[in-house]
Amino acid sequence: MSRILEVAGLGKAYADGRGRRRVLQDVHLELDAGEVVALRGPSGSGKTTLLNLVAGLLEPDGGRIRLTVDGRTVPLDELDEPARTAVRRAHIGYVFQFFNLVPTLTVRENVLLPLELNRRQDLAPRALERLAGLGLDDRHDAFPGELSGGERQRVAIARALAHEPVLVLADEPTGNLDADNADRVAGLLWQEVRRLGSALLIATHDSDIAARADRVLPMGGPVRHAS
Amino acid sequence: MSLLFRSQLRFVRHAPWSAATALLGVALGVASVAAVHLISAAVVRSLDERTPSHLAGLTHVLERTPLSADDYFRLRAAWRAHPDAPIEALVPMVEGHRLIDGRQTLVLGVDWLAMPSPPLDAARADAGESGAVSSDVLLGEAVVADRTLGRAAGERIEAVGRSVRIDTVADTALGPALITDIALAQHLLGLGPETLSRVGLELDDPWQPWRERLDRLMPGFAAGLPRARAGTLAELAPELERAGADEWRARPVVAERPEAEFARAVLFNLGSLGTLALLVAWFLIYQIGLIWLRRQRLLLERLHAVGVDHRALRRSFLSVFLTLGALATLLGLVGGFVLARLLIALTGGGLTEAGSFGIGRALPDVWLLAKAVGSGLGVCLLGGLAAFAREWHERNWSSAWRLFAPALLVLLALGLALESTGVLGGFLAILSMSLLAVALVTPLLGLLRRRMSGARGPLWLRLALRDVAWYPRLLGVALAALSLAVATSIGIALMVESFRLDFERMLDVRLAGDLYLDAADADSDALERWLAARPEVARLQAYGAVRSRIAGVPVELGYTRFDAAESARYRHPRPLGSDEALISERLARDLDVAPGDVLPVARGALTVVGTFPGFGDPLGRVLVDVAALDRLQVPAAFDRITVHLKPRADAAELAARVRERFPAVRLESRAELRAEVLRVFDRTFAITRALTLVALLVAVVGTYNALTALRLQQASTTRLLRAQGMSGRELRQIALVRALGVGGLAMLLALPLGLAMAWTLCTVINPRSFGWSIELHLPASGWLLPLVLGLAAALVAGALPAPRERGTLHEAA
Repeated sequence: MSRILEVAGLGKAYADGRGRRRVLQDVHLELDAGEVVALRGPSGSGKTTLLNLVAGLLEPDGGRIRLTVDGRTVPLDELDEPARTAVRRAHIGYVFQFFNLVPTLTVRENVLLPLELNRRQDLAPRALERLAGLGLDDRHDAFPGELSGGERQRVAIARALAHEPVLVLADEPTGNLDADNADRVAGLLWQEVRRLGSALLIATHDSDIAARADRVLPMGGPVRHAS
Repeated sequence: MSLLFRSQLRFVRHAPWSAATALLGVALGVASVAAVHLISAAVVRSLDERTPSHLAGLTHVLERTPLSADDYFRLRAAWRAHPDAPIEALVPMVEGHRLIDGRQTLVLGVDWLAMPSPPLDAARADAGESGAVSSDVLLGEAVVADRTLGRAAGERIEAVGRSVRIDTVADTALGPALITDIALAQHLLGLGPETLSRVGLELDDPWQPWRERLDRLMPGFAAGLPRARAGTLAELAPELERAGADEWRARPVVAERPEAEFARAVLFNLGSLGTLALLVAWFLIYQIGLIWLRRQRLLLERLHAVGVDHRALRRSFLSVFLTLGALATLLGLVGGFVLARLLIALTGGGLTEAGSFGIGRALPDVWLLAKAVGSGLGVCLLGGLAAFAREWHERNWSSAWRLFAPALLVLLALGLALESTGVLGGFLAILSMSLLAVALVTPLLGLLRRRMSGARGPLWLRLALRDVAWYPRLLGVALAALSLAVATSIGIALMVESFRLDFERMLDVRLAGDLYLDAADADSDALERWLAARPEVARLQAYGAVRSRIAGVPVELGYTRFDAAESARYRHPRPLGSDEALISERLARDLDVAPGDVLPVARGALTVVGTFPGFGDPLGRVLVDVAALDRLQVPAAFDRITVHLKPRADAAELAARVRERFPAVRLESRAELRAEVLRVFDRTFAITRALTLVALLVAVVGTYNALTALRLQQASTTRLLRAQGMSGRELRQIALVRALGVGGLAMLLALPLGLAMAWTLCTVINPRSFGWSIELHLPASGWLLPLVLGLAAALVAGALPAPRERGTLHEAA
């Protein structure tokens, strides 16, 4: 299997009123195509920070992040913000716990959002097929406010996979759902990621979800340093 | 300090930016009100100080034709016989015109001892105050001379074989005038002791103190009320009906001072405009109240769940707004002084000639303090209350609007249609149409939302425009405030531009000569003879004017040789006959006459053959040919000359020669006169424009607040879009288009509302305020500039960075 993501020696600290709080220190991670890795750890252990660093939303304090796309390795940690944005837009899908959808766009528009950003309308039929496969064929014109929590997360999955990214990042995607819905959403996420051959990096508290992953990366608590 | 209040204060500390904008908005509103009050109070004080002494304390003027001393004594006897009649004083007067030093001079005689409070005050008289006369004047041994006569106290005037001493020189507000006792006035006018002109009346009016208080709170307010009409004395004092009171015509004393009424009407218009910024500030407070409540909703629900009742929650919420209101009032009061000085400076200091103000003089003004405190605290309290009712109690205003809308429509129709509702009716009509337009905001956003739901187009455009329609609670209020402020700007600008166009057109017709000479202080006959002998002069036209009365109403009577050329300037097709007159639109309204009607004058009558606008004339004007002066018992004297030059003649050279030979003559060329008149015109409306700008500024603060709140609310959506790969540039583009959408929608509402306001100002309020109507023109500068300004303001509000404030909706959720 080909390597999709390589993270080495990654570190990140935030400034707060009392000094700097180190959230991540010397994190190493590799992720291959079709592989699912779960990040587990208590609140504040840096799961979301790691996902945001990999997505290029944050800049690391140190370490390396390499994303391999079509056999070409992209040094995310060395890119400036516009370049990281371009990589994220084209090759990464992101699912959040809350507020996954743009409230003023319909289900269909939310799903096609990455395709519009990437000018990849050719992928629209497959993206809408996937939406139908997720059981939302009849909700194309509904707005997020008219959907249940489970429906919203399914739309979010369809949206995250619409542009067929090499890497999908999911931050507690089932954290806001009941057990049945959580199981269903997780199942669909796994199924669609594997079908596309993408890699999935998922942050979760849920031991059942973590148990489905190929590997689990335990995350430690934050470390405080004097400034 | 209660824990709840402390908690609210801490919340405000975490929302410093919106608190600061609320403070700024309300302070600007209070400053606007305070500045207009300061200016108006100074002008009213000055008007009061200039009240002619013979009118002080009087409420009406009584007339009958003919009027003799016997008539007066019979009326006086009837009053004494009916002590229950609501009459406090009857003051006989005589007046007429006489040429003094070759100048038309009003001679006025009054029975000072019959005055409600005899203005006998030697010290004040010595100081030259108009409201005082000395005992010599009282006894008919001397006269008070108006300053415009150019004479000094102690000098003597020779008239009708008698030498009369000038006791005092004062500003009588009557133009060239001599004021004295009845007997001396009758002598100077060549009238017999039986002749009287009118009788002043002081009526016992229980509402008068309240009216005075209202006018002190809102200077000029009385001018906004429907004008009191003339009637008979029998209507005012039915007790005297059997004593022939129905033969006496009674006119309110305000009609004796049309200049003061004119000034008060200007003040009323300014006062109405001054409250606009306050109204917009109310929208701002309401909007901030909604935003803060949304941010605190979860916290308040938790507090309610643990047993804090609604009243306590509301009290703590409102107490913060009241604290803000108190601070804003203080700032607004200080700002009011600064703004007032700025506004005065904008007029070129013209208003300070009428009155003065300063912190020392104005601070003890309890009315100013009451108004500022009422404005600042009132706006914050009402805004906070409305927001609490809307957001916390989920009160839906749509049912209230269903009740209000028909009432507003009725108010609008009555205010526009019924002239008897006065200027106040006109402004209430404007307020009604504004509130109706505001009520359209939510349905308009609903319609836009429905239309946008299925709309296609670029992603950024859909995202931006849907944001505008999706959050009516956040944006609706700002939209209403912005459209209201821009609409007012459009209305005022169109009215001013239309007025200016009409005014320029009038100037082009009226200023037909090449040179204009004011010979009031020179020998006008010699000047005319000298000019007539100049080879470059084609034609001379001499003019005279005098303050007179037509049908009992004070007018400015203008006269000249009204040949065909002169008549054409007033769009009259032929020379004026000796029994014909042209009258101003204002006088036609006051007397309720039209072309073809006949006006009785001293000897016979004058037929009205046409009307003219008479822009800027505080008095009604009558124009006649010199041949008609006999009928009016006015002697002919000319003090202004217009010179028409032959082609290619050099006006500047002739002007230089006139100045050299007649140094006392004031002289202006057509271009100079036109430029000067237009400069005065533009200064006149500087305050109006500045006040609309203040309101616009408050609306921009509101728009910025609303857009910032929207951005804070959409923080999660922004995060999501960034995670999807949307760049910062694209997000900024969305923010700008969103602001443009808000601005565009506000302009869509503002344009028709502004046009309706302009029409109302030109054809309803101006005639009721000043007596002339303005033809509504729609120059692009009148409507395009406010629209561009409004759009630009919305864009700036969208482009400015959003401050970080804690306690957003999502953080709370």
